[in-house]
Amino acid sequence: MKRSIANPSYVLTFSFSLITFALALFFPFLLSYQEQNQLFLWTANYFLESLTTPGGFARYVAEFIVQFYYIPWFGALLFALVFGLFSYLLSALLKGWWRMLAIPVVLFVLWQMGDEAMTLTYPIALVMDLLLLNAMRRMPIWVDYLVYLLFFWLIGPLVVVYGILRIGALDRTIRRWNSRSPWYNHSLKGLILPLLLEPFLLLLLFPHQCTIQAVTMGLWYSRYPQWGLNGGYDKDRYELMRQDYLVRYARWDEIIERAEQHTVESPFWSECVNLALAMKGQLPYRQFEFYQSGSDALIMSMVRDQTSNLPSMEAFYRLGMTNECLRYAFDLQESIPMGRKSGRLSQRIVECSLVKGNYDVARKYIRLLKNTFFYRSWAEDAEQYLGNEEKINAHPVWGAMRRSAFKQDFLYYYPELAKTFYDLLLSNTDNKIAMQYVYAQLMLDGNAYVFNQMMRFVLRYGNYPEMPPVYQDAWQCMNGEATPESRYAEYFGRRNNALNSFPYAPSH
Amino acid sequence: MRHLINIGFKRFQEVSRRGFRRVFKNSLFILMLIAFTACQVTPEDVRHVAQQPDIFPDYIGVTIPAEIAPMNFEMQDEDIELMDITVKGSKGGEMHFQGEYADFDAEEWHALTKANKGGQLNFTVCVLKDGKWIQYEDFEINVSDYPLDDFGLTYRLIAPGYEVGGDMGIYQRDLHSFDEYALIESLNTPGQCMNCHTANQCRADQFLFHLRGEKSGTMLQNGDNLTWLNTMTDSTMANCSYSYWHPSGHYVASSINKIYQLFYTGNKRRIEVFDTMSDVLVIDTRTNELILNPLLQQNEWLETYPAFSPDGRTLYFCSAKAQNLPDDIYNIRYSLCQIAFDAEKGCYGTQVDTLLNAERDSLSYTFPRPSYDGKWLMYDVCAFGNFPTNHPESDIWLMNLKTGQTHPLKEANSDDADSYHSWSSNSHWIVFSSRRDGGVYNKAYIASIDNEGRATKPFLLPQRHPKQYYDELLESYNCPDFTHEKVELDVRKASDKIMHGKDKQQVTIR
Repeated sequence: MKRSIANPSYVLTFSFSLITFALALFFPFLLSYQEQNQLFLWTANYFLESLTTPGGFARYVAEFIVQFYYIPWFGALLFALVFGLFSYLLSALLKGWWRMLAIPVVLFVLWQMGDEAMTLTYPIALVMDLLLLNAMRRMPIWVDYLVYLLFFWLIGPLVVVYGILRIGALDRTIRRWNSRSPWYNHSLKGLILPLLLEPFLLLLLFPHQCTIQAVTMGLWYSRYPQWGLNGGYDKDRYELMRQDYLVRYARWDEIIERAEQHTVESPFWSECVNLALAMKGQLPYRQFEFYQSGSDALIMSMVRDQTSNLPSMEAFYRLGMTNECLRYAFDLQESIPMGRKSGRLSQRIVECSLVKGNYDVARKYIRLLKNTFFYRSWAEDAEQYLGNEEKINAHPVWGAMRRSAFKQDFLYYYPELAKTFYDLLLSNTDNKIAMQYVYAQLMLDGNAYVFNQMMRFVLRYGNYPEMPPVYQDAWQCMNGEATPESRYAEYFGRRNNALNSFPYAPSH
Repeated sequence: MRHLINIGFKRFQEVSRRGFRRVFKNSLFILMLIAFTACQVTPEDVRHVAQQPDIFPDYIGVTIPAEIAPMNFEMQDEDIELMDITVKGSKGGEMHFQGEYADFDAEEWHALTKANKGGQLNFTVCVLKDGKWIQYEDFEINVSDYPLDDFGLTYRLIAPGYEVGGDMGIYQRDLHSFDEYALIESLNTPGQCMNCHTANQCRADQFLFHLRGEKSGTMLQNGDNLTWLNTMTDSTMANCSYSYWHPSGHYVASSINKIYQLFYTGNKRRIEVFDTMSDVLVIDTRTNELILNPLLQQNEWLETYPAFSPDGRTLYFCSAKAQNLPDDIYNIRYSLCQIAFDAEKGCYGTQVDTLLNAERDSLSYTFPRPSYDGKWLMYDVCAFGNFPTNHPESDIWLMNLKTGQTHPLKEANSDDADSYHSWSSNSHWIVFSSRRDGGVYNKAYIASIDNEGRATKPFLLPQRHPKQYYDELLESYNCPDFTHEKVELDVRKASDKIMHGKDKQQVTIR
């Protein structure tokens, strides 16, 4: 019998594949976010280590796919294929109009995946459940006892979905047999229920070494145990991810264009926009056209998660503050849950270590990156720089970072950020980013006294044809000559709720 | 059963890891050897060179205890196709190995080292490179007369990071084999930073470790009792940090520290860790009471790193005059001090004696560790501060407790940071962390100490495939210590207590 292409399962599959593909293409930054929070290694050891925790196999498959998010369109295609397969398996399970039930289920899962903390492990585990259900259709129930346990280990606690569906399927069979043998019916039902409890029995087998946390780590299909209930597509969160994505790929003009259209009132957003402005030399001209979060609008102090400090790390990198960039990159990477590494952050660690001449650290991370698919060639290239001082000095970025390095070794102190930028500028007066950041920070802090003192420095090293308007505006405000349309006054009014409350007001 | 599963899985992992990698790396020559001859080749037309082989780890001239795990090594030159190694004992015995790197059979190795206790093992190394054999000058490894009876080491593996600990764990390692066991890992206590395992004179049944962060506290195992303590009170400013057991097991001396970190902008140093406040106190483990003393809790002084003498009558600690930190960080130097302690009454002496005066010497003395035979006091010396592992100049010194004379352990120290030292139960071996190899990652080194307090050249903790292991390792060996027997910890119970605050006991002040 010929199958019609109008088969509702095919229609659903095609529709969902298309929708998911379009969505993923529309949100490349979400794919990039997922990709930068893991590092899939093509080693046997990585595979074996994945198998040591429940759900590890599903996670391994998911991470295998997510590594391809490095190329957004290809990542979107794979993401669509996963959802296509999910919707096909789900609709094939149901008959007639019941197939329409697949629509809300797939949409719900897709909505959950809108939470950036959710990993692809979640839909992969669901797909595996459904594949298993298909494979087990003709198998006797005793096989379930082995398979259920095995799949608990392979895909984690979501195997319960399989368990419930399997019980439903078996129940139909039992009802069919009901008239034949009531005894058989009761025996089967009695056997089914313990099936769901099997994983808990597994816990008892490992009374000491295997803690509840270790076994239930599989629950974490999300990076945090929240089950995607913060799902959906939060506009502001997505805007921040987009800005970070653009920063990652140094797309400065796009950052500024986006900032002109949409503001997110957070230090993360301010940092991305200010960095883009500085990279384009526009910070002295446009800084206060955009929302400034406060003294943390250029660099944030350390936040212990895997995202918040990304723009700060990138700013340090562009400024040539190698140690700080390395520190933030390292701590960001160590903050990724479950000890996962990141290609993006490992690259930064290698770069900073090469600049610092710390070849032992660089070698370790190069070795790590050489086991990946997309970072391998970069790592092989970086390997050529190990121990080669001349080559590093001649590198357009790393050489510049060396030339920008602090001449004096001192302890970094976040509350004195402006002074740190100033020392950096003194170490290399050609460092245009540092020059912009010194004044930007002084203005953000409202440090009128130092700002006034340093105006001659601007004129000397800035090479500005005339005093940049942002500096003029701030200078006027700080000296009590604010104009009604002053953006700096507006910023400071918002910050301190009074124009005359500069913390370091000059004494007249 | 559980151990069998663990060991079986580890073996599977090791074999697989080695197997997969090697297949791709092996030269055609080696594959032909395996496929067609399945036997070893005899080096022919050997060219002799007048130098010793450049091997990793550098085991040339080190002193090892008998029956330590095989001292596997490999050539630094990665283009070597094959190594042929003959080991001859000065007191008899011989073993031969051929392969890509020296991977000795454990049983043969143990028998050879045992037979050559007090003697030397002579290594003849030939390598095949570009199809030609090269023979290097022989080198020797000394086998000490002093036994190393302890089961192994405990240590924390932690990424040498900055403010975020990341994934970490406390592990133990059998020193006579390559088996490593997890005591507790981040997986068991997600999001918590765990401090080092502190045992009572290498005992496996009396130990503690601290946790920092949201679920902070002290996990104390005393025999079969596992106690989860909240050591912070209204009168003490923080939880316990650096601890040391009284030999009776009835007390634990601890420091309470307000710890801060700052980071250098230059290339020479990475981090400066300092305390803005710190005191020393003693916990009575029978009553969970804190025993305080004004001499150890002075506002104008920072007291830290307590350690009891092996007879339990003296409490060593470090003390520095409080400074305006971080501005005066380069002026903060710790003296080595002692105060009497009466275990019967659970009280301190009435005066503090200074053993080593930091102001006089312009040096900072930290981390006192008395040998368990009562002869020596081992400590760290650095230019300033109290966190020697971050000071490249930090070295390990020894004080003769009878004469008060001090000397550096020249043979064991390096140009980089050497710190976190501990004694073996017979006080003839030390283990310490060293950053000598690359300057960032701490690795565990072991050296012997003779009756005159002289150290031997230390050796890096042996691994089955050392180069691969240490190249791939992204963690540091932190606070290694000997353990006489294998430590048993009920991780589930500990994890329940930590994560759910189950049976958490509040210390009180006596």
